[in-house]
Amino acid sequence: MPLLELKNLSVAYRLQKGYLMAVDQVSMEVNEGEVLGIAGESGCGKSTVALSVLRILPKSARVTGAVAFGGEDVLTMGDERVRAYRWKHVALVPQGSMNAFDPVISVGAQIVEAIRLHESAGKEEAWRRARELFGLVGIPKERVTNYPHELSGGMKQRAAIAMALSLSPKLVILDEPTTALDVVVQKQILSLLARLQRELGVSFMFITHDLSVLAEVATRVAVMYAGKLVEVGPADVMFRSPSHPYTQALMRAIPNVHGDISQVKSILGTPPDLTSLPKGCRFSPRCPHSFGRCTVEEPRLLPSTTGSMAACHLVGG
Amino acid sequence: MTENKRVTSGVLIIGIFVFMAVFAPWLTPYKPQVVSGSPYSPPSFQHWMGTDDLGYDVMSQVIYGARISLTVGFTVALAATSIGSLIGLLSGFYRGVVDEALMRFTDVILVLPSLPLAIILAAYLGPSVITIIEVLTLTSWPLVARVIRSQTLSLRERPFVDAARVAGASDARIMFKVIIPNLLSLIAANAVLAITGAVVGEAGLDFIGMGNPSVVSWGTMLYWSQNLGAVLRGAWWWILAPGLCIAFVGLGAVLISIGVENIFNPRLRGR
Amino acid sequence: MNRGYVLRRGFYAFITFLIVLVLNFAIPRVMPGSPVQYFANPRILPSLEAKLLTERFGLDKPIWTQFLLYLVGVFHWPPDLGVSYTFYPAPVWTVIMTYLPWTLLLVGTATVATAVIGIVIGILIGSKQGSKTDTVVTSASLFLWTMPFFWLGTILLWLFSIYFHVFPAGGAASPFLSKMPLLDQIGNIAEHAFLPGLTLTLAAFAGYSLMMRNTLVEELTQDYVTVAVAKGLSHRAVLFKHAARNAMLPMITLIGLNLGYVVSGALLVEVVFSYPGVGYLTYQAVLAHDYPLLQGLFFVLSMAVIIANFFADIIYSLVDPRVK
Repeated sequence: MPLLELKNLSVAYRLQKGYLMAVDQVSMEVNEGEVLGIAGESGCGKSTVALSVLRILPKSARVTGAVAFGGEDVLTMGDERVRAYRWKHVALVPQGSMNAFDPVISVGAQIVEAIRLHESAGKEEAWRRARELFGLVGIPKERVTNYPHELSGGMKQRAAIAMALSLSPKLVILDEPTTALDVVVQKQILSLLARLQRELGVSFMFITHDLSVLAEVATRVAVMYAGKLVEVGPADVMFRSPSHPYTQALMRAIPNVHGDISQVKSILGTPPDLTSLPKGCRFSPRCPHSFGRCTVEEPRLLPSTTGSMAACHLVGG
Repeated sequence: MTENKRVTSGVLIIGIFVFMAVFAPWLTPYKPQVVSGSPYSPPSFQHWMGTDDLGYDVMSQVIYGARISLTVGFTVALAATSIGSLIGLLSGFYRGVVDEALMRFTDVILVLPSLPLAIILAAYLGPSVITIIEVLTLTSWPLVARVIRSQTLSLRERPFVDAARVAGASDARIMFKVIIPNLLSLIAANAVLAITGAVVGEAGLDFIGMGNPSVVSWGTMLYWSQNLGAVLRGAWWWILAPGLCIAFVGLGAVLISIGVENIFNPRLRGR
Repeated sequence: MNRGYVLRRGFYAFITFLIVLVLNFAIPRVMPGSPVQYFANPRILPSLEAKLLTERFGLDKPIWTQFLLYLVGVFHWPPDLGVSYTFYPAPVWTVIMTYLPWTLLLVGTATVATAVIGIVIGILIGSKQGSKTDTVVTSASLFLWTMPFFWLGTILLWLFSIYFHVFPAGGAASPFLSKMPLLDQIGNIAEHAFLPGLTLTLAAFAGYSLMMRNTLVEELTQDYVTVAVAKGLSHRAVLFKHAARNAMLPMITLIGLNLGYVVSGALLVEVVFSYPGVGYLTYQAVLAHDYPLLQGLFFVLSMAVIIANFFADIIYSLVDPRVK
């Protein structure tokens, strides 16, 4: 049984007129000890997926389908149960986690808050653990009493990771964990994450718009486009021989290891407006291989020849 | 409420009062300062809002009173917003010593209790509408200056300001031709909001006897009703209307101001 | 607490104090007419009084000497702010000090009540942004906010004292106050302060509740709030322990800045309720053209507001770790 399983998950936000489908019939799973990378341009629904796993979507969102964690349906949990489930089983390092901490409370106290909310640890015990977590992510332990503004960007990111690990959850969702950092710090954080994942055996759901960061950590990669899952498969397959034209375009957009700028090819056009989607395949207006059927019929997710699953009329049936 | 609806209802409210002020002689059943009934008559068919201590018609006074209140309100709002915007603009644009000096001074006026300051100024200058306009202008520009300054600070970092500078535009040109056009909505919102403060302030100064008590305004109506003990006599009709008018003009202005501001800062929107 | 910050704010307060000093000195001297004309009590033998005043303030001497004499007077204890005509021969300082406690009571209680009510309502509507409650409460508070303080007071006075006889119609206490047992004394004072206090609170709380609402709405979109929810905190805990706590910070500064406004409102409300505070005193001074008393009132009230603002700054530095 997978650790986390999403089945036909759809999320719609209510607008002044009608609904906006942010996530449309997405199914995927995260297995124990694996790192699932989710990639896509902004607005493709990847962050909404993350929020649905923790059931912390805004009130205007309507969710259908199923989110099962360890076999238990998250969407139908009672209030008490869902609060106990959050952070204990699935923790979050939020998007732009520069602001993950309440600015007027010390970082340590915020870690202690999480520990004592879920476990019957005493104050001293909780603080001792907070200091240990700081050691684990490579911040001097005495800085645990610092306020967020007293930490550098990289340290804040490490502290956010420490807080996410405070209850030894099975799964940590990392939403763009390296986006706001400079390249050197980005590298450090990525290797820290890889080390922690190996040592603790925790699973990651790693969300990013930048496929290159997934190359180093992901075991499997899922690519989303305009609310749809367009391709998912083992990382090596996805990076070596992507099947979906969108994945191929994303791969080409990565600067190669030698930093040869001429290799960077951005994808033409912009993602569609989610309130007025094109007919058929959503990628068809930007797709270089688009043909008649693409603008009529929406492709289903089917096994490709390389070993991934892809939603494209050129792949499989 | 959507922002447009908010602005529309605000404009409608203010419009009604402007109409009242302009066409007062045609709208009033009696002359405002002529005996037209017996003193302290409660509202009746002849006197919809009753009469005052001298037998003057309250409704006619309320309608004529709009003239002073709105004149003071609009004049003060215009003057205070101009001064405040200019000081805020200079302060935010030049920063450094200029900013420090101007903002220290602005904060002093902002913090000081405005009414006692207005009262001593008015006491020396003698009671008149001009005095009230001067005094209210003097105490109401600082808030505008603060708001405009902080917006100017962020605007001056925008690329189009750099572009103008590289193109060799003078400071004055950048301020008035580049920055001001981007501040217009904010300036408008503040100008409209200043009307509220000025109308209430005018009434307050009139009420405490700093206005000219022989002129008909909402403030002097409340001054006379207070001094002659209208409350104790139970002559509520004499008090109710002028106060409600002040509150409605204020509300109209606030609605316009909030509407305009929210259109430019969508996060605060109600819905 | 951050020492540098407190020192800097203290310095600013001192500058403000100096400007008030200069204003208070300059206003009667730049106005049309001679200062003697304003300071001389019309009820006293004019020529003798004029001579005494000229000597006392050095009005025939150069302006710098006059300023020096003025400073010596102000920094004297008790401060020499001249002599009131209405209460001749009582010094202005003494007169103001007998009236000030009532105003402090009124403004103090109203400030606390306004802040508490404003914050609570702000949280209520801010956490339900866009709901019917939000729309209705926001509009109602806006309307109250635009009402002139003194008019609202008049209406409450008419309703509760004249029409329903629930509260006394004026004054700060009954004439026989000193003969009552202590508890009755307190009750009597509270009963007299209730309506004026309620007026100030009703007319001013909306400023806070709207500010609180808008700040809270902004705070609720912050990442740390998402994290707090993800941690498994209840809705209440997220709101009160994190979002509202942060939204409350700007309120401290606002309460300080608003004091001048509340004091101004209190002056007019005291007139309506014949409440014997400095507002009522101001009114009498205006009617009697008592210039020394008016100047003294402006000076003392400004001092009070400057000091209160300085305290607000200190409190701010205690609760926000980010102040530098």
